[in-house]
Amino acid sequence: MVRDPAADPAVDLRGVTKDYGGVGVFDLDLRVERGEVVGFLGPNGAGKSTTIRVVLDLVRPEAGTVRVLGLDPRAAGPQVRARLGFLPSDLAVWGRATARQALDHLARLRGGVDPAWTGELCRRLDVDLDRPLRTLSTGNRQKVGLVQALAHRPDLVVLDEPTMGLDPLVQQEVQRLLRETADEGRTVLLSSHTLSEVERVADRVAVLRRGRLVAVERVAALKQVAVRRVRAELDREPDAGAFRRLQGVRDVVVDGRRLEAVVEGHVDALVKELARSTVVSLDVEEADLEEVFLAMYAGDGRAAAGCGGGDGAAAPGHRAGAAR
Amino acid sequence: MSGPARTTAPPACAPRPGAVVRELARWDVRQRWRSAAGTGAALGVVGVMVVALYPSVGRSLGDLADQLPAAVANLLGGASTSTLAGWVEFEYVSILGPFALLLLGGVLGAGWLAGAEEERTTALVLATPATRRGVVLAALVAGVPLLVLAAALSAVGLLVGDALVAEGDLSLGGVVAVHLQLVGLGVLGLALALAVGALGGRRALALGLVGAVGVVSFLVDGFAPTVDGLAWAERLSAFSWAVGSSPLTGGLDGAGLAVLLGAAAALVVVAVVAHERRDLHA
Repeated sequence: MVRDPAADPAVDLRGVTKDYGGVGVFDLDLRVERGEVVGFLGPNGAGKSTTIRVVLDLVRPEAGTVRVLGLDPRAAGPQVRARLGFLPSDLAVWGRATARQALDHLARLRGGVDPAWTGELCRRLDVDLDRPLRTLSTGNRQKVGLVQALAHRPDLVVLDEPTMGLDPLVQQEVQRLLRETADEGRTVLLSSHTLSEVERVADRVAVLRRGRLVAVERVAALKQVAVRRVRAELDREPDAGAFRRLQGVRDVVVDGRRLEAVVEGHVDALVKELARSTVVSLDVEEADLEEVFLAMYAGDGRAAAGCGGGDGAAAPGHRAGAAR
Repeated sequence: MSGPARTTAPPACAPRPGAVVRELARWDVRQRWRSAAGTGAALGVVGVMVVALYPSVGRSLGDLADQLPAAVANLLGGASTSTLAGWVEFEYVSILGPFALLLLGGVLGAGWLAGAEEERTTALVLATPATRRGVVLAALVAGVPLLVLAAALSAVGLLVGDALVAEGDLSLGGVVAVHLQLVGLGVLGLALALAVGALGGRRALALGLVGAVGVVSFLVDGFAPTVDGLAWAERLSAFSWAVGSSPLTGGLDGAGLAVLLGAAAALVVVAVVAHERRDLHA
């Protein structure tokens, strides 16, 4: 029976260990399916860059197996990399080369790059093509890096801190591009230490801590258990006790007709309780995944109990604390 | 996740490995030709000056130079300065030319491998179908013509100087032979820097070792023949293999050139193997 290479995961790491004297990655399992956008999160030194370098075959693990687009990136390097786009965290600079020259050079190395699509990317990201790369700001260099990573419509895009240094409008355009990439059945693996960046575009989030995967969750699932801060002003003084008795509601503070509380998960019960009075104003802060992950990091390396309803079934092969 | 998983085949128009190496080499030349041209132009200007100084300075120094102790004279090329060819060998061929070409090769080789790794352009290139072996070979393919360019400009300087002083003492064949030998030395510097860069990924180390080889070669080439029992050590000097046979008057030293290129080839093999195996920092 002939194996269909398109059925293989985009990235499949099993038991990967790369030890830099206690730093690196250890016994790492990570499986990224085709067409997914997966956010790779962790603080500096968590092992994100090491994992990306393993995927790119820049470093070779001491243990474990690595498959990228169904192939061994060491044995089949050129075939793998022809279908891979990569954005480093801070685009390197080639002497006097302009962005146009650098993009042309990389396009010739890859072959099959559609100039019209490259032009479209440059237009959407507002790339200045004719100035030397070394004179560009970090954000403008980053835009050049994004164009070169996407110009050949790769099957797998690996992005290290993709929106670093970009202004909010360009960040939104990048997020649209990444969603379009996934909609075309291509895969995006992006690393970040900023949760807000990842949650806007990712289907799933993989969290690394000290070189070990501690959680793999769907962003939607995380949002359900995420922590929100609610502030409301009513037409009369609220009954603090009634709010404190609501499930998932804590840190209730009443100040005259104003109420402030922290809600874990859905805000439905709190809103219904508020609705017993006339609500003058209501402010619900955006779900903050940071607090969830901080809770994870504060523990013993296992995911917080609230994250246990993860997607182990949807993402077979993941080994991640409570997500397993 | 949205959208169906697409069947993904390698791009039909992915470039062939040879085309990738050519593109890498073309890019390398584009990045560094100014260094090579600058080195060659500087050598050429110095060459004109050295030759032009012969009638007024070199000839009058001839007797003095001939009276130098053998060790010192040997260190300065061992040639008699009573002729223009001897003066050029004394002032230019024995010291300046070899150091310049060896170090130019070292700068190019250290920049293309270790330097690129330090500047983190290696990761960008190796995220394309380019291979690690291809990167090393491209550095060699790009380096040789740049060394030839620098040597050619140097040769032009000597010939222009010779025409200016109307001595007619420098033969075209001799000048070409010297510079072919110097290109061989430059290729050795290039290969050594590539090998050290591939092994360690540090530009300063690669360039420093090339410089050290230059200094040791110069000293050994100068002193070994004059010290009893150390004459054999002259064979360890890269300078000796390059210009020890006085190619300006004696013509091309095929054996010396073969030794230089053979050593360079061995170092390129080391560079390829090391670069293939090592974890890259960027």
